[in-house]
Amino acid sequence: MHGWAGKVLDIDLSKGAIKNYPLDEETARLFLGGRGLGARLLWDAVGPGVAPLSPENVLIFATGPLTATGYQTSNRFSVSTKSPLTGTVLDANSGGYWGMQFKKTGYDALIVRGRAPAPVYIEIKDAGAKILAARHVWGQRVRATTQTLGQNNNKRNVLCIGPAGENQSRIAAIMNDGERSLARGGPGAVMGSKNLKAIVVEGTARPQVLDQEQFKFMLYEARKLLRQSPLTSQALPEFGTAVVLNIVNHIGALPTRNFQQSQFERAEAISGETLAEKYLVKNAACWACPIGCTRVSKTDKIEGALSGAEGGVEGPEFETTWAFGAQCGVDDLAAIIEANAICNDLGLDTISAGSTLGCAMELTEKGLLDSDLRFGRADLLAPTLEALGARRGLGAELADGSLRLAKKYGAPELSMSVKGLEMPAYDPRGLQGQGLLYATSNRGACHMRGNMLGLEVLGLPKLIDRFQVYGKSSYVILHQNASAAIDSLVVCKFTNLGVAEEYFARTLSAVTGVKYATGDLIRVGERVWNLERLYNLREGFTNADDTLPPRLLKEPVSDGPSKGWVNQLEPMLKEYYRARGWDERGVPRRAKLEELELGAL
Amino acid sequence: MATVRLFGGLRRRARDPKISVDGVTARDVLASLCRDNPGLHAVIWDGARVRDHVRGLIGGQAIELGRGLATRVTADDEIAIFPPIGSGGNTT
Ligand code: SF4
Repeated sequence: MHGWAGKVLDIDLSKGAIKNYPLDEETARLFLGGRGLGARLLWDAVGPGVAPLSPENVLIFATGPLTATGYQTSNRFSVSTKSPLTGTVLDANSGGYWGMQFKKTGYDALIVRGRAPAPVYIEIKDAGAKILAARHVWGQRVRATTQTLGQNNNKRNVLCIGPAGENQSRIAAIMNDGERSLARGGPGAVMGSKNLKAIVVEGTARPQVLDQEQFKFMLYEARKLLRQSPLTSQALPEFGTAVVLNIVNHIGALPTRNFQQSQFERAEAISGETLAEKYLVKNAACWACPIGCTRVSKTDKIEGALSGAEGGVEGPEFETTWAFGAQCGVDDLAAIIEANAICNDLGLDTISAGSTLGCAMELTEKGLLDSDLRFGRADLLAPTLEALGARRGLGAELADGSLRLAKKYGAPELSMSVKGLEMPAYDPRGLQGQGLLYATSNRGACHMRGNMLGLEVLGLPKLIDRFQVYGKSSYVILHQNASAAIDSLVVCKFTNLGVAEEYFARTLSAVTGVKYATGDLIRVGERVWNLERLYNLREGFTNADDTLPPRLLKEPVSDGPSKGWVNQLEPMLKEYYRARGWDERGVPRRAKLEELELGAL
Repeated sequence: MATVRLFGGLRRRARDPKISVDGVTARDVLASLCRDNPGLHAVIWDGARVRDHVRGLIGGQAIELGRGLATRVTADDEIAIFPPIGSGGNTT
């Protein structure tokens, strides 16, 4: 095969068995790699009713046909599993170096099954894989584990869990290359439940490209387009993702104090502009990325074990800044940088961690929970996160996310989540389409399964009315399908700000020799979306789960530019099901499944 | 006089992130802003039109979805101008 390595590595930790087999060519054509391939393998591997933290669940690490080819941002990879936070299908993806290095060991995907009797790590080299004892790193934090196991960016790359994953926090991330994360939905807990501390990869095999000449031309085109776009050549390198905070706040869509308000009066203090002015050390980039959106920042609060070589830490990204900032009513950017560094070192999803803290703050202020947590208490972020990672005291309850916490204290409506996954940093009352996107996202509320921010706020590629309700579903569907396709290639979504899908399709054809027109690529995304939907239906999810927290449907925004608005989900949802070719209960119709070559499922 | 607030890289090109500017319409305000702060001209204007991806908001609402550059501006208005922003989050 060209593009694909053509092999799957399959490790059963219960039996200590390691095998490999060829990647099915038809599956590769239909689902590409990454998220799509992961969903297809998961469909067969984890049937209905499996407990996510039992040995019967699996972890599937998957790259795509473009991974490691050297194409711009061809560094990314994904993990797929059944989520211990939501019970839905889950995939999370990450950048850095690990994905590229794993592909170079000669595999497209790794399936990890079972549970090791004692802590282990897996080492994969060209010559094969080994299961090794991990007693010496079990209990260590992420940065220490990564160093101990020999991280060396271009040669040997470490993916691991921290204490949060070992303690099976349902919001635990898997970390790679030190500070990159497969964050959402709790994949770190699944890895912890398997007694698997780390996966170390070292490979030398570059994937084969069929049409070298055309591939070189596509590389040249992408370089030119990324340079021409003011978004990828200036905006992202200069301010990273955090620059978006001010505009989201300005329009009245920045959820504040657990979504009680939609504007944060201290937004300027935690904005991307302030980050750049006061704390930025330098930019960094993932492998083969000319954009370099990553921030490295530094404050007095992060020293010693928490900080990297130059005393700095990666991030914080916009979502993280919001989660520990506006969501918790905190205006101390240094404390937010510290919270981000602690999450990365414990191996925690920053969005879910921050949002769960915000939920606990509201529960406390409403007299439902007895704790010290209050909105604005920047001083409590670090110690609370440490307790969460260790499952100590109140931390043991926070460790399972906001929905379980809020249910326990009698107010599930105060969890700002969809299907149990905490919502990111956009208030769906001020961005109607974003609300539909959150409600229908297969892994729970997510801004990476398509993002309406571009259309509803930034005008990318054009500006549409953010309060418009009718007609929104077609935009949402387009974005969801495109993002599923990009997650299956796998490249970084930021590339898509400069390079259109047509270029990805032409590159894919040049690399693999399989002809993909733009429509074929988007069709892969639609296929993946429908397969994920089928997985959730098989697990017992229904259209009743396609919803938003009651606050966003019933409590109008009290002030600011979104004043008076709730999210008008119902008419959008009806339109959405119809446009997707699903019935009124949100079940894909047979004709749609046949059209997508999913009829056999 | 309306108040103009600048964001992102626009701040480096102006004397202040928050500036009071005269003008009857949004077009007047932008023109006079760029006259006083010439460094802003090339990043805001593309000939007679505002550059793609530069966003102007009055009271949190997009100017271009209303009456565009002809929008009338009062002394109480705050006009926010954002340079191209390429984002949407990246924690996955
Ligand atoms: S744009 Fe940012 S996240 Fe994407 S590959 Fe480049 S550095 Fe990594």
